[in-house]
Amino acid sequence: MIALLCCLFLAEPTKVVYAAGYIPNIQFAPFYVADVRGYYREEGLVLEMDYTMGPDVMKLVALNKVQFASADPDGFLHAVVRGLPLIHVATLYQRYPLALIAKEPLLQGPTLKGKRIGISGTYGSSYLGLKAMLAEMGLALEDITLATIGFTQVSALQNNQVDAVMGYVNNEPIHLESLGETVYTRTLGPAFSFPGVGLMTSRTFFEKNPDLVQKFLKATFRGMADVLADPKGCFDLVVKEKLPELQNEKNSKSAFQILEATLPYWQSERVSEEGLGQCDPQLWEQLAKNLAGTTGNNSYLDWKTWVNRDFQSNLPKP
Amino acid sequence: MWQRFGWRTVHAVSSVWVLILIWQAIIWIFAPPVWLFPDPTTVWKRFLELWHLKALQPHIWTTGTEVVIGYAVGIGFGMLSGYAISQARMLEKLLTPYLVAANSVPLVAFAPLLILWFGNGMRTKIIVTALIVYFPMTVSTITGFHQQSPWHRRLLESLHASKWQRFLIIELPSAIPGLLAGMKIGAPLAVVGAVVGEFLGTGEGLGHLILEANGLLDTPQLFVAIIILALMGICFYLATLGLEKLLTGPWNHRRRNQ
Repeated sequence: MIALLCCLFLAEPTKVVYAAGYIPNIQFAPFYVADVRGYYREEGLVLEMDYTMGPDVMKLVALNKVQFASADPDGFLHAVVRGLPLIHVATLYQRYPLALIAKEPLLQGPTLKGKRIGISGTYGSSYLGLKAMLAEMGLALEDITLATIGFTQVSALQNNQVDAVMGYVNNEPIHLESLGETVYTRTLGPAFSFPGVGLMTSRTFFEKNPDLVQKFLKATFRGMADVLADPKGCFDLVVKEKLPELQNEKNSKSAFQILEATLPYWQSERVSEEGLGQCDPQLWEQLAKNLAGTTGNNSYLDWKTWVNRDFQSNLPKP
Repeated sequence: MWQRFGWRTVHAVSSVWVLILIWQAIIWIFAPPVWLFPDPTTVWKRFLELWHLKALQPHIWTTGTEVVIGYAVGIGFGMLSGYAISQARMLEKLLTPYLVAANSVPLVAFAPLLILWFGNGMRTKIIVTALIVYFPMTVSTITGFHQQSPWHRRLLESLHASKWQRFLIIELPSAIPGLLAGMKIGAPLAVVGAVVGEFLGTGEGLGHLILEANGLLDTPQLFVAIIILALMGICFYLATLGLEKLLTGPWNHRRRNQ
């Protein structure tokens, strides 16, 4: 009995690697908070953050090099349709925080026509979002000039290299405002609402370790619930323990603004009713129909095959 | 001569087929999924598809233009500054540490600054290409112009040759191997420079095609772009070899030995 207890207490926690798909950032506060407060440890896990950028994270998950990763749902659906053995297990962002951002009030159909719009690349969620936004305004890609600018949205707009950029409403506008610019943003309307960034794992890992997946999600969403309940306290904790580079006043101020602008994207009517963890399935349906329509590939309509919606956080609703 | 050319072609074609066979053998043995490592046939089909859609040609043209102009600018400035530095010991002592320092920093580290300063058009890509070619060319030029024989120099001095005559008769011919070495090193680097520039964001060029393929997880397209880049690098290198033969002609020591 004593030996069994010793084994239980001395059991090595399981290491799980989470690929954030971006540089260390306050937007990953739920993971940092869950780590610092020991939520992963309580579940018998040790979290390691991986900051590999871009779509490579999905390949890393498919190859079991990392166990979990964040990805835009459209990128995820592209990947699974191409045969990557992945499964989507939870939604972090309830909707796309994508926005068309400009320094002038030109984000209406007639005024935007003929303007130069900067975008990170002609693929991925920004591209999909831009096409959807143009459709909302009664425009097509041919009506604007597209400039691929990588991840230089703030400088490109500030230096007038483009008239508007596609970015994230909780990121670039805050940076631009901190530089003294007046900013106008336009987000996607309800007809083009898609789910935001979610968590995925490999199908093999999911099938072999269902409990471990649930434990990881439970701890992560516990962290998210903490951030929603006490943003400032969690922000200070994250800055102190995980992101010391934000300790100077200017960086700290804009980082906290980013966090504040992010919080609404973790919440929705559905989350208020059913708790954190999943988004409205209607959003997936809309995304799948949009992708099937634009690519002519009906495989996207089978999104339920790759999206597991079993996890639901039992935490108090935010 | 034609017989030698024929054998070289046979060797080159055979080595390509061997490479393709090894590639196909890896596919047969490990059977990786297409998104991880596509087979040669899938890549070839994707190439034909992109070619018929005219989705490749503009990108090849863009990257090719950046490579050629960037290479010419880098080589030109490298030769000029290398020559100037080689002629003044003081200048060499003063500038060499900075050249080494600038060459030690990977270009990707300050390439984002170039985007800020010069925008994200073709001009920036040409500057990136020129810079990556410039440093090895400058160093090779300095070394090349230090290769002249002191005996020859003294001979021309005793004949009261003018500076221009000394340059044409001794300095330049002695420096040619060094200059050509710099040009040969710069040729594949020019392709790397153009792609590094395109990775920063452009919407055009083979670098963009790679980013797009990666974003869409279209691995066959990724392979198509990589293979074209490799071929571009080889062609450019062969062109500099041709130039070497043209310039060194019968004095080429390998030919002399034959």
